[in-house]
Amino acid sequence: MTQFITFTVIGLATGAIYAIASAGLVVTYTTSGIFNFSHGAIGMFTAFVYWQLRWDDSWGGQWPAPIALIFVLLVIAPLIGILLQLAVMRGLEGTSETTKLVIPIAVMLAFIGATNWIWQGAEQRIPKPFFGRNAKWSIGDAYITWHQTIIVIVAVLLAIGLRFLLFNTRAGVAMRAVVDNRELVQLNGGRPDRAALLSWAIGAIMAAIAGILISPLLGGLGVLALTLLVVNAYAAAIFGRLRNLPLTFLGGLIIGVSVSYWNWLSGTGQKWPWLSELRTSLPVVILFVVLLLLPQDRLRGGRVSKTREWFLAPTAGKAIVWSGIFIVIIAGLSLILTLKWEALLTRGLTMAVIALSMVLLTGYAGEINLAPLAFAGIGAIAAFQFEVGSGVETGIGFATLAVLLAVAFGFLVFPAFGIVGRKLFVSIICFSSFVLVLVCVFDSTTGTGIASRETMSLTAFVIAALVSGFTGALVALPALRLRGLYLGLATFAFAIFVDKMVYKQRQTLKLDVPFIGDGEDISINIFNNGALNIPRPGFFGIDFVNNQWAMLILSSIVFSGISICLVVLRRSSYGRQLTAMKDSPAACATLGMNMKRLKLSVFTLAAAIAGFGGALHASNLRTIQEDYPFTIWEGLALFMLTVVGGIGYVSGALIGGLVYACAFVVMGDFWGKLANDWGSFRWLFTVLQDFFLLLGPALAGIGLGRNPSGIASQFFEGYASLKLKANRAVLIIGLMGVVAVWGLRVISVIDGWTFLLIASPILLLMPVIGEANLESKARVSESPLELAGLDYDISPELLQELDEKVGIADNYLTTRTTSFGRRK
Amino acid sequence: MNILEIEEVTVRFGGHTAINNMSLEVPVGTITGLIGPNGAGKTTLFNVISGLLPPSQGEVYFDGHKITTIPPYRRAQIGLGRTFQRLELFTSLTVKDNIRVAAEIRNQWSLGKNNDSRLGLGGLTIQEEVEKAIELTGLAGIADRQVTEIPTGQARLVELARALTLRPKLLMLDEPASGQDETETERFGNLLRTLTLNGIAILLVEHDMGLVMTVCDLVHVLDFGEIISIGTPEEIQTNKAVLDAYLGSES
Repeated sequence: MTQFITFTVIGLATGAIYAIASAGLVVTYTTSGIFNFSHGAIGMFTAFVYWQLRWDDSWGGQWPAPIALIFVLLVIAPLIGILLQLAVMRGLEGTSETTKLVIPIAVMLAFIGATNWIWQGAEQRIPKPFFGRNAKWSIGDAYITWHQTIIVIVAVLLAIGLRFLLFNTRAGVAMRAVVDNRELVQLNGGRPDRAALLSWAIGAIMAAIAGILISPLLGGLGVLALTLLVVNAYAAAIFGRLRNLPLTFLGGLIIGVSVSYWNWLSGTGQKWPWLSELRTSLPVVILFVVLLLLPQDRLRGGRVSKTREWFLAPTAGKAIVWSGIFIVIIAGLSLILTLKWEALLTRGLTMAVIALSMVLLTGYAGEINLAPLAFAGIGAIAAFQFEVGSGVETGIGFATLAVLLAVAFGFLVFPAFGIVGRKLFVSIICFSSFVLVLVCVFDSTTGTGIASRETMSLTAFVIAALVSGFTGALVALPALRLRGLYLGLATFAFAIFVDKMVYKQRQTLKLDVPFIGDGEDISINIFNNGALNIPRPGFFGIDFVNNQWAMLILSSIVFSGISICLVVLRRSSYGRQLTAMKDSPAACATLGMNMKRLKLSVFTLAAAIAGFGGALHASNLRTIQEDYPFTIWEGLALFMLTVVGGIGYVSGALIGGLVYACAFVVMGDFWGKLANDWGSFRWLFTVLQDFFLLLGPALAGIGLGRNPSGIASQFFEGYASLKLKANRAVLIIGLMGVVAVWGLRVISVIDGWTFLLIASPILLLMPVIGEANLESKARVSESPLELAGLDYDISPELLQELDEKVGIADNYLTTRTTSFGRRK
Repeated sequence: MNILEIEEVTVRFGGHTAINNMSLEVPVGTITGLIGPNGAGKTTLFNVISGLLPPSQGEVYFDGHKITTIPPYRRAQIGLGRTFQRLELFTSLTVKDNIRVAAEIRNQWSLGKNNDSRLGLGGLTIQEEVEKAIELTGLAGIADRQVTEIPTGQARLVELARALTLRPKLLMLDEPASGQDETETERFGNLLRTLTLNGIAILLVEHDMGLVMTVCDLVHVLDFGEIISIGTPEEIQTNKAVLDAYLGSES
């Protein structure tokens, strides 16, 4: 009984904190339509500020609790909320759901970066509970701390207060009105902007309260741990369908209590070692389940409005040409890069391969997946287990497993490409035999018992793709009904689940494949001791182990190959169907499309690409750890940067991967070098270095609001003028300049930084000069079209333009006017 | 014979009854008009028939089968096509690709089924199928333009062409003529007539009374979720209840 009371009280207290946090989330969501992913990070940040004011020795510190509370809750938090709304969130109207999700993620990463920047150093920061650790009272033998008591009281007061605010005050009614119909509020003289400001301020205050209340329960302040704790509240918000406050509060309490009871039941994770991490991942499991049970918005007409995002589809020919150019550029660069930069560039390219999975899934098909790196991680683990393994008779077990996976893959993917009936069976048999041959013939480990290899075979990469693809299907299958934000949250839950349950798994998985071998056919120590040593690839007789250059070229070829496939795919019937599904699910359904099958296939394919890329990335790194590089945070950053790069394009994935892995390191290094060279400005350059390393990615993400189509499309627009004949001279001279500088670097006349400082301005100035060049040449065509033939003669080009403008058949006017003899 | 029968369908949104105990039949090879003031429940009825919205009560029969509970895409596959009042075009694609993807979707699900002449593309390649639909709807001049660039009137034709690639038995058109000028509407009326000659039944929601009165065989008038009158266009034009609903009871 005593235990029951104790665990119930603990559960209610944490549940109450979740309830407070999620209520803040609901308030901002209902008034702005934006799911504030950064909510958890705001709570974390304000908890750090509070700690600074109360307990730090060097600065601030020793403020009395009431004053510190008032300062944080009534000054800092509302300011954060208001600034966020004014500077960032307000600009998100009319953007796609992907963009609406990415910007708050960027803000979250910005808060994490800023906190890491401000509160550097490994010192322990321990916040104390209210009235100290020993202030408690008791029911029977069970003690209840004053801190817990306060939490529950605060939650109740806030619940009543919010209810009063929303239903009994003018401001609250205005907020609710904005939810119902923003335009109508405006027409009636209301001010939706002011209501939005108020709701963001309230949301931030709620996050701050939750952060301050929960931080003493953690022991020491930890940036990610604290953020993640408040993230647990997301499940509660979904419980209330992001609308209903009482249900949200109930959801919070249910989550808190179930986690607490699970701890009680499992002896804080001691009883069942396999599930030991479930105590930290239970909230996201609940989140996933609640999402599945949630009644979904039905398909309905009228949801489609043109969003600001816009992606063109390149042709296969162009993709092949550009891939060739790309590989040449990489090869050229490799001549002037030191080993360190070669390794960094490889890291960027392998990340770009993983990012390609998001181009397919999110860019083409419009399905949001926040767990790209979870799939990559699973792929890397699968490749490791296959190649290095650790168990008994791994070979036979894996061969059977591989064939089963190949069959499953065939059933999931092939039908969506129109392969059905007898053809389907033939293709699946061919595909699985191919995999079997790969496993048996080309891999010497098979059947040899304990395998331990220096290098990774081609087969391991195929296995990585298959395992990851199958996992993708498993995740997607229950989540097929979900769309947009809800799908994003479901995959987010999955990513956290993988972080906790797979990467932190220390148990050995033993599997008996029926009818084959004796006893345990597969024995896998999933993530032994928190680090896996992944071998480098070894095939075609090339030394990838000691040769970073080979690794770099391999990555660029893999990236190009998959990119070309994706471009071809997009132009195929399959790709058009994905686009159709993204643009209008309702129309697809009424045209007879079975969207579930299509979604399942694209999820499987995308996860397979991610798994393949993950194996490649890990193999380049040689080691992966439980907290690097495939965690949820890295995954969110990669997702964000790929969207920034332009998620509708394969080049967007390239930009995303490179920026993620290289750009900010390069900039950080640049300032670091300056700090070394000019000692007197050291402090300034160090600040700049930290700034780029810690905040750069997040700020790039926030900047997306201005151009939701991403960097790639800006790039295409900017350099479009260089494709014209008139600018050929500019193009050639510019490129020759870059090649010349490159040549100087190859023969070591200049150093790397000089190369960068000369080459990049040339590349950046080329489109500017091109534009100026065009402008000076093309004054005439700027005259209004109506004056054509009056003020100036009609040229063939102009005729064509007129044809296009009035939308008649190609060359109609062109051919017609020739017979009148007016053509010049 | 009726291609579509609706039996005592009721749809409630919370406390609001959008459709109240409505029954309706669409005979094979005819054009049935559905008119009524805004909010009468016309689009809601369309959503119920095409499966986007489950009715609170009642049944829907199509071609002799009960389809009340089957998903929208299955309904499309047995020959139920529709367009949308608020355009649902594939905005990233060109006019031609909008139609092409519809033909491809059709090709996809009809593959591997038996050689019923309605299934597959009936001997036509996708390309030919698309060209046929484009020619029929007169979209040839703008086939290669992005659908976001073309005027609403023509965008509605794209939706029609897209629905036609389904080879529907019943075509439900939700205000197809809005955004079209007079000549376009006239041409459109002739097109609808041509379609019925090929055996397609049409259920037409339209505010352009000229079009409704010239092409429809039978007109149903809806008001507040109920059918207040059924008749030929001539009968409807002189019916007092209809005039009241449209012009207010004072007149």
